[in-house]
Amino acid sequence: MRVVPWLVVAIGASAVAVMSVGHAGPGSRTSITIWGAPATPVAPASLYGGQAYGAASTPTGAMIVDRREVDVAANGEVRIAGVPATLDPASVQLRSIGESFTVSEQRFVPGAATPDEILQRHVGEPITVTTPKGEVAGVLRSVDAQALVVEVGSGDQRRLQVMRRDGFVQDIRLAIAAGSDRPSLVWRVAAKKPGKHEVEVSYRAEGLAWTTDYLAILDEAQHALDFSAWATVKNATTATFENAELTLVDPAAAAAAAGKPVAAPARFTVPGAVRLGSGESVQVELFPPRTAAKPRTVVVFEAMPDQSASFQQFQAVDCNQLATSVGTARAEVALEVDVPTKAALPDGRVRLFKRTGSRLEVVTEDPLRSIAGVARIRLSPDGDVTGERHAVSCNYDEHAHVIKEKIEVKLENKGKQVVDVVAREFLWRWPMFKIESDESPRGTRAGAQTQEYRLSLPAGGKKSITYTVVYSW
Amino acid sequence: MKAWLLVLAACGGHAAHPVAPAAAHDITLYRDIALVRQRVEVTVPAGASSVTAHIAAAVTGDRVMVLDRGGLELRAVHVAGPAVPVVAPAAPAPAVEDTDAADASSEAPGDDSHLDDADPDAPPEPPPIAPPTDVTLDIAAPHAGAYSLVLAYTTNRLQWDADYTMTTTPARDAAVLRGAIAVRNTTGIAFAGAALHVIDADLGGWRTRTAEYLASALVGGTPSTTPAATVRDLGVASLIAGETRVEIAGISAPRAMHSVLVYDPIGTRLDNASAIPAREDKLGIEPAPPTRITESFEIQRDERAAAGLPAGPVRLLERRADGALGVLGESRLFDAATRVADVDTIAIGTAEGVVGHRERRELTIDEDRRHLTEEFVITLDNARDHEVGVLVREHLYRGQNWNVAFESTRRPQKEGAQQFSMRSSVPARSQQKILYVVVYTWPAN
Repeated sequence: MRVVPWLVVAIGASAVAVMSVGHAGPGSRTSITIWGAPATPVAPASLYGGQAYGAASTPTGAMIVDRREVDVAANGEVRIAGVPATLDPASVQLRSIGESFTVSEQRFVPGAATPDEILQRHVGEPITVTTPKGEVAGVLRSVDAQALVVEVGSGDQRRLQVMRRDGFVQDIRLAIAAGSDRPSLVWRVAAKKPGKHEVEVSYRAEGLAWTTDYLAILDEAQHALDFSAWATVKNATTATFENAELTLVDPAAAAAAAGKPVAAPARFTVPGAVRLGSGESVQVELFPPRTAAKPRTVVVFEAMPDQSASFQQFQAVDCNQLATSVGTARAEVALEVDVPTKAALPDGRVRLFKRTGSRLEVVTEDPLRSIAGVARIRLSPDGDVTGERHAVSCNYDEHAHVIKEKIEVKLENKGKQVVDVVAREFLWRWPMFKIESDESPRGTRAGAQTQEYRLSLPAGGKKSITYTVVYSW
Repeated sequence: MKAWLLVLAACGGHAAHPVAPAAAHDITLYRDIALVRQRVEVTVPAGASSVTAHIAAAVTGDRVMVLDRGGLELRAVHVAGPAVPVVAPAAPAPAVEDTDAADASSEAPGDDSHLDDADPDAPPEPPPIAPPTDVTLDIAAPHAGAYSLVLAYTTNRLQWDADYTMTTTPARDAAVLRGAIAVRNTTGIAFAGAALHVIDADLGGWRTRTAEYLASALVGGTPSTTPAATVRDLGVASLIAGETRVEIAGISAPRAMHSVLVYDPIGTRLDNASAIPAREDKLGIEPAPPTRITESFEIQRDERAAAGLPAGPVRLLERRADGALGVLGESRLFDAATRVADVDTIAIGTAEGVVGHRERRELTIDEDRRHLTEEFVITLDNARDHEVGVLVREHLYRGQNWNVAFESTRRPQKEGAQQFSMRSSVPARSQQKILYVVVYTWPAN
């Protein structure tokens, strides 16, 4: 078994100005825009070239913009150490803020993590090796897993000494520049004068992602709800970012926006700068918590599952297809609370607790359902609200590329209490559509291809929803 | 600027009386997981600062919830590690005690929030004690002073089990129940003065039921009638690293007991806890059920005192006149199958001269009307010279939606979600037959 000798690293003076991401110095500013986990593709990649052909893909990872002061060495070298090991070198840009300079060369130097990698970095540099026969000082010429080659002596006394690392080499000392073994960006610039320059470095990196968790606490009387939204940012870049200004982009909204005339991806700017330590997860709030909000109890009714994911590449032109829903309806009791957002909240699980005396009772842990300004927490299936959906009429105009479909949804409350129903309708045939003015009751847009209708159903009562949707392409 | 974190010292491993001072923490023990509400006391200067607290080992950031900010403005919560791999390793990672293979795709490294479900009967192996997780809170205080925050998270590093003893006298007419819950704390931190609650159900099942009750209350629906677990408060205890036994208070009033013969040929092993009944033709028929009838003791259950008690093994002991204790029998108490039973039975041996036979007379499955009907005849043969009373326990193992349409003793007693009992007297050297018909139903798709 090979014994790796101790590697004693002495930090020596550096000939090159080195800055690290984590300690960029006063006046530095780091802005990070992080996309959440990519949404599931809406269509298989094999279909007509898939997502990559003629469609926008959802960005992943993070865009990091780092504004800082750097030292330009006399030889024109600028080095920033401690950048993410996961950065995309092709995305790196260095821009001078004040006095301009031109970049003639740019390199990304990966970090060295293992003893062998670190030794390899120092070939050609002074080294001191401790052996049973004493210390040997010289210049490291070569290294592999079995041996070190050190050039010793000077003048005509110069010679190469090969030392076995297994047993013979007891200790190695190297002089290294601070941060030189960490992932670094190195530029050669042509500046009018060396010294301090203010620059902006931007790059894309993987390894930064965020997810959302929601916390809801219902009071014992079931009249008030505390609701908070937490983003958990995970930093697996190997770099630490101090005082980072975070912007979180909702991937679901971004995916919905790709190629479709809907709202831009939802962005959440975290108030105040935070530290993103390497390997750390950081929780920040997406918006100020809502305390003692009044929750609404609703029954969410869906006559059929959303089929729109299957019809993103081509239109569902068969008018008989799903013209009548049979046995596909689903009703669920949910709690709704208003939230201060203009877009739907990001996907995430919500944990609902209920206060019972001094205890907190766990009620649900489910994905949050959300539309613009409203968070919806599912409780359990409802057996009292039933309904069916059918197409009253459907016309497909092959030449005009239009499908006009009139839909009726009949709802019945078999329960003994009046309930507020939110009926969700999916405009699943094609992403481009409009609802005509004969809609009754008036619905609201709740997603890229979702319309919601609110109505109050008395105990034992029946009501209908009708609307006409025109798909075009 | 770092502020002081007041470390709460553990002060012993035994349960305190219910009148103990207000609990510093609140821990609810579920079968698969524990929900911890941990109070963090901090003294901070006015303005922005950071404080670091220790919480249970292997808790990931997305599982930390801030329930009470204590008047502080909370800006960020930092949870250190576990290390997140930058690139997926080509080879399987070395065995790490915190990783769990049940759902690797959606689980952060080190996330041990669920248990391995490969073998539900095997007791879960407690993870070894590990260093606690550091949580750093970036806060801003309106003025300098002491504040109290409450964090919450789930952990599987507080595992527990319950066990009981029943002690009777040579007269064997009454028994005293004692029970304790052993909590194994491998979180890496000690919980001093924690209010403990136990719920004998998996967290997922408990949530479903709680949500169903809340929904029913909000919209006037009808909740399920299947007996559910309830909360049992254990008082305030300190959970130090390792095992702490917490005595269950308020259960030791003497209970009347008497001997009884029990015929329970099937047991709970076939129970299908589903609304959709199992349709297998030979279920419960092949292999042939045993004919053994057991000599048992029937001990009256105190419904109020037994509410929420977790299931566990019990030993029935007899304290003899010379003070020595002898074991009469072993069984289990408070399993979900006996959740609404009036009595507990503990078998002590095989009854001589009395045997039973279980025969199915009919099985009809009507898929259109969603009915499954099964008719059974239980035959009890008594070769003894005197009359015997036999308690026949039957399990409606096919599913949870059932109705006993006919029962010949006219005294059926529901004991749990899928279990009922019937009592019969069998005269000397004679035979007695019990007939019952069960109808299972299931909802439409």
